[in-house]
Amino acid sequence: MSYGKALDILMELELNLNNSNIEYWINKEKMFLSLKQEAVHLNDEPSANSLWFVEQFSICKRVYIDCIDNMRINSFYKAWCDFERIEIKLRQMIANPVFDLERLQVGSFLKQVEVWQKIFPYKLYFSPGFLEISKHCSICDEKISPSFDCGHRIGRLYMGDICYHEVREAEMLEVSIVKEPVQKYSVLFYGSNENSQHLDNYDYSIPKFVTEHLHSPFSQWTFEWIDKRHSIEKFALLGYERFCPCGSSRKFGECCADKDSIVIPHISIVFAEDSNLQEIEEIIVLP
Amino acid sequence: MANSEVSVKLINIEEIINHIIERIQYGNDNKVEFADVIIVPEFNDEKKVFVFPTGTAEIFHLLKLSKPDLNTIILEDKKYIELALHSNTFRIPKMIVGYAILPLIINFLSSYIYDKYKESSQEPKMELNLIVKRSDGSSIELRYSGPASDASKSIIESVEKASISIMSNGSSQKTEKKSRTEK
Repeated sequence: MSYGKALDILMELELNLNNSNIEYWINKEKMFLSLKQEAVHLNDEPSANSLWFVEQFSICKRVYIDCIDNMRINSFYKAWCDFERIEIKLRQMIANPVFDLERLQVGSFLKQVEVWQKIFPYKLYFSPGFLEISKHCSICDEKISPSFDCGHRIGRLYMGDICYHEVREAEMLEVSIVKEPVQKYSVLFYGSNENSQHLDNYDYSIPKFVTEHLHSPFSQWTFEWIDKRHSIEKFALLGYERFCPCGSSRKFGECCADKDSIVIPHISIVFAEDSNLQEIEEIIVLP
Repeated sequence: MANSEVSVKLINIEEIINHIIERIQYGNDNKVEFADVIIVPEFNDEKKVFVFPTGTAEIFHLLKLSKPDLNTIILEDKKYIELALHSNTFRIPKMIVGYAILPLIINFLSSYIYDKYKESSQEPKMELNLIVKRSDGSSIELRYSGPASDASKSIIESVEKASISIMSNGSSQKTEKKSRTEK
């Protein structure tokens, strides 16, 4: 791919950073994939790597629009898994900066994904422990071992493909419950129903609120947690046996029920541009 | 608050190496004598095999490439097996190193992990188990668990303190817990 062609691609993407038409990104993804395959066929590694970068960028944009759409129809877990997919791809792009990361705002795109992840209610995850008996390099298929260095490094880009290690033989040891998982998709659920669907009892009020007030999928927003004092009257209907809203993990009746006011976590959401938010609502998060 | 923990104790290094070599039976004993860095496996009691943490082969290759003057070896069993454990913590394989090259190794490992996680929003956590051979022939085992960025300072400080303690008392077993404000 010539320098001029690469510059044209970069300029076009730069002009379409906030394009929320999913068809546009699907077409770009297909086009870049096809051009990458041609470059691989011609053994043109610089072009293949550049085209991998813009292909991944288009996938991230397409999946991000999907995430917002999924949250609009209350498919929050699906959106959560897709946010992780985007996060992994953006990190791979940052580790292999073939194009100008600043011009495509890759860093701020990743930050926005992380902001979304932080408002999801998930706290605990399953995480499996394995004995990895046989692993192979995805680039050259060599077996991973200390006695031979194939020279390919995990997460690096080679001829339009990211290097990873493919586990071909493994033994499972255990499944643990962790707070900081390697894979974020392994969220704890209470079980499954007859149709193998998760029994999802999580409170998605915060991501739901943000999704409903977004002007467009790529609108920027952020949040901060603050402690806010609330009059006890607001909790007149809260049962004494419920957990206290102050987050003490004690029963309401044994904790703050007799006080005049309660200090509880409050999330303040700030939209960076015009949104359809008419009036900022208070979100009170009960434990 | 992010916590780091370092424990240091006096150990018999020959016992450890011989114990591993006897069980591996791979002719490693000839190599051990002249090695600057020895990467050793852990025995998994459940499966009755020697295992290395995920990424050990990569660390071994990178260490040999970036520090070619060091004689780095790995005590391999017939089958090289990696253990992939839960949670987002980077586990470094157990290493036996000389006291003189300890800062070199710690800096290599810290920058390796930093490089892996440089764009991550969360600071990487690191678990490390090093056996440091001192010039008087004794050895100390050092375990570190905490943020990767704290490892270098915490470990070297702990080894220095432990060395002074060992010289005055003849033995040492110490655990230090530190906490710091997250950046």
